[in-house]
Amino acid sequence: MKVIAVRQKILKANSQAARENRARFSRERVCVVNILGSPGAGKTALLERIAGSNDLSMAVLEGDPETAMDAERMEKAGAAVIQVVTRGTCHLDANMVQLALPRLDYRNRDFLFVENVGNLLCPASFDLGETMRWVVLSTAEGADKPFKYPAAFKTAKAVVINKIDLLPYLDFSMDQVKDGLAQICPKARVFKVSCKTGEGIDPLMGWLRGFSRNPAKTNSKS
Amino acid sequence: MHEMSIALSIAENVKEVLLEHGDVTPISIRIRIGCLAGIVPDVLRFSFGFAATDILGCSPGLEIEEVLVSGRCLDCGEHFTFDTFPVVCPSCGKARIDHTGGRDLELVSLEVEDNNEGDRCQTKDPESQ
Ligand SMILES: Nc1nc2c(ncn2[C@@H]2O[C@H](COP(=O)(O)OP(=O)(O)OP(=O)(O)O)[C@@H](O)[C@H]2O)c(=O)[nH]1
Ligand SMILES: [Mg+2]
Ligand SMILES: [Zn+2]
Repeated sequence: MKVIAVRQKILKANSQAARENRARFSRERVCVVNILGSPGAGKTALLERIAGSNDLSMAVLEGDPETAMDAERMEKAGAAVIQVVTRGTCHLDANMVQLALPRLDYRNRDFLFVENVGNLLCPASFDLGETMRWVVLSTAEGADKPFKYPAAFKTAKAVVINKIDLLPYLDFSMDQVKDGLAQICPKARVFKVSCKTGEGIDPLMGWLRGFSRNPAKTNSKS
Repeated sequence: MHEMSIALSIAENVKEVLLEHGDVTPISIRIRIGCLAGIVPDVLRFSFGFAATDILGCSPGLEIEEVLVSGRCLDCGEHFTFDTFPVVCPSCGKARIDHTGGRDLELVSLEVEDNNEGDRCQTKDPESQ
């Protein structure tokens, strides 16, 4: 019997593909946003809002376990889009993204949004080579989610609290969610929005414009 | 489902290491998992049984070392470790905590048997038999 010491990252194949993606995105000067959130949190609704504002050039990579429904929605919203159907797999990985890129017209656009599979667990472990991660959390899911899914929130650059139009009907505590976010991801930007009414979308757009390749043409950046 | 894809990656990693070590059979695999990695050890062990059988042609044991999260209290400076949120400082009871680590997913080592002495299972390419 002998022991072979290894000490290597279990997801090193994914890390390698993610590194390649990241190098490519930075060469092509596209800001890539990996969007995480539970099923139905409003990831696609948020992307429809962003596309609808018509002042950013964007492409979208949709990851879903089945169907091209979200891609169809984004097409209607006017975005260049590709659907990656994961056939039941609960997350996108860097390799799936790499394989899909040649079929997506994302070059020379400011943003590539990747809508990950609806799930707060698995996508958190898989770096896609993105520039930043967002988590979309809808009010109906409850304010305890940052504590329950720290891995997802920990790496978020922005947390979008969606469906604030529903607040009057829920016991969602904004204080509790703020406590959670302050512990898990104190540096994340927090936006409160309703993709249904459009409330709160403007501040998010203003912040987002700061990441476009020519932020000077816009009025707000951070 | 998450555990299954991690289990498959572990088996792939092990397969790669074994290729560099000649005629050996893995008996047990040691890994480290951060407490914030979102992985349930029992589920991972269960999944690994299938993944290993599929990829390695045998089913070595999986020893899981859980890695705690390191916290530092922003109010009193206390350093401590914990395994889950929410967390308060054990010294002053406040909840403003800076934390690092806890997302590790690492293959640490393999315990193997030299096949000259006897094998418990088949790790080489089944076709070559
Ligand atoms: N009331 C309300 N409903 C919303 C809001 N945003 C989204 N919805 C609704 O919530 C449901 C789910 O929204 P989607 O955008 O499909 O959610 P998703 O996160 O993309 O879902 P998956 O891709 O399936 O994981 C839809 O019926 C939306 O119309 C909101 O701000 N307020
Ligand atoms: Mg969607
Ligand atoms: Zn303290």
